[in-house]
Parts: sequence; structure tokens; C-alpha cells
Amino acid sequence: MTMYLLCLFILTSLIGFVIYKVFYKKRLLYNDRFGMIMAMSCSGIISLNIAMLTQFIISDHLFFLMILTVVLGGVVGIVFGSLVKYQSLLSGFLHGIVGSLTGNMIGIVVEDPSICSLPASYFSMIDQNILIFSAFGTLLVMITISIVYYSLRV
Amino acid sequence: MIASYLGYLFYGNLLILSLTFMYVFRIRKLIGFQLGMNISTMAGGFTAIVSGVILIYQFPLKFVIVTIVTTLIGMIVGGLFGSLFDYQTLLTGYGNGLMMGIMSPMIGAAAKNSYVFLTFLEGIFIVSLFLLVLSSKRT
Repeated sequence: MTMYLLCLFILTSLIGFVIYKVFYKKRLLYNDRFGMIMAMSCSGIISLNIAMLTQFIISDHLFFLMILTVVLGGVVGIVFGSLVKYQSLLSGFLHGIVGSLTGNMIGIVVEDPSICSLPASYFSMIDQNILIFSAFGTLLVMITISIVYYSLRV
Repeated sequence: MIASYLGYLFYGNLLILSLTFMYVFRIRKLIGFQLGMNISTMAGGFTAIVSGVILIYQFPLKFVIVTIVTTLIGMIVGGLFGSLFDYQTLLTGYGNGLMMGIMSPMIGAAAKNSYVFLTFLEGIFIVSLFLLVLSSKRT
């Protein structure tokens, strides 16, 4: 279980690193509007998945992990936003923080369903829910990154 | 009693949304990309929130499937409204619909079947679609 989650975490980080290298190589080709939209989509979805997987892997130290992943999301947004101009830095920073807060929320709710007053039958299905949600989040990262990469040619 | 009418409410929302889509589709050549970005963001986000709350009220035992279906609804509606104008507005509506749709079943589950909250969200949805039509007419 922990091995599977760690593999998904490394895969997400690897996808983010590869797409950053591709955009850094072509950063002189596109205008600032495309840079803003690229920073919004990429930083939002990558920080969401990283925060959700971190909550699944280490289930103790709740508030310390929350602070750490929110700071990490802000750093991801700043890194993606500072490619073109500094007006896209603000947009990337905002969406990185919003994405990591959402990821923290969904991770905590899946691990402890009594917060959202979900029915008691969920307490026997927590492992299955963790598997489905982590696979779905990684699938969303792949779809989003491939759409953003395809938009370089349009 | 009221819970058996939630399906009709969902169907009515989709009907109003498709009417708005057909209206915007006719005048899409007159709208610039600045307004197009805001239109796709607003339509995708509010549709995802309202449909997520309605679906979690209707099926309270299936949290996982409802979350996945709501995320797909938000992505598709945001992408559909964004694809009227440009490729980059498609990307904007897609990202915002995804973020709102993954959040909305948790809001609905935390509200504990309160119908006042559902009426409030429905009012926000209708007012937002009215403002969308108004601002695309006066541009």
C-alpha cells in the first residue's frame, strides 16, 4: 500500500519536472497570456495531487503536514509562473495554494469520514477509497498535462 | 417526499444550461477572449457546484462515484463553453471546473440534507446564468 502510494508520488513529481523542462526550453516562443493559463492549470493540478498523496502516506502530524504542503504548492506555482512574465506569477501562486488546500481537504475527509457526517459504512472501505482516489488523481494529472502539452502546437 | 423530485431539478438545470449554450453559440463571433475566459470559468464552476450538491443529496451512500462523476461534469461543461472561443479559454474552463467539481460533494455532505442551502445555491446558479446572458448581450 505505502509502496504503491510512493510510486504514484514519484510519478507525479517526475511528470511535473519533465513538463517544466519542456516549457523552459520553449519559453521564448509563446506570449504572456498563454503563460498565465499554463501556470494556472499545471500548478493547480500538480499541487492538488501532491497534497492528497502526502496526506495518504503520512497520516499523523496533521497540521504540520498541512502547512508544509501549502508552502510546497506556493513554491510550485511561483516556479511555473516565473517562466514568462511576473504577472503570471500571481496567478500561479493563487492557484497553487487553492489546489493544495483542496487536496488536504479531500485527503482528510477520505481518511476520516465522520468529519463530513458520511454514513458508517465508509469505515470498512477506507483502503479501497484511498486506492480509487489516488489512481483517479494521477489520471487527472496525466490528462491535464497532455492537454497543456498538446496546446503548444495549436 | 422532496427527495424524489431532485432528479427533475437536475434535469431542469441541464435544460437551462443548454438553452444558454445555444444562445451564446449564435453570437460567439462578437465576444472577445477576455469575456470568453470569464464566461467559461463561471459556467463550469457553478454547474459543478450545483450538480455535485444535488447528486450527493440523491445518493448519499456512493461518495466516490459521485465525486468522479461531478469532476467529469465540471470538466466537460467548462471545456464546452470554453471551446466556443479559443483553445486557451478551453484550458481555463477545464481547470476551474475540475477544481470546483472535486470540492462540491464534500460541501453537500457537510450540509446534512438542508434544503434551504440547496435553494440558495439554485438561486445563485440562475442569477449567474442571467448575468452571463446580460453581459454577452451588452458587449
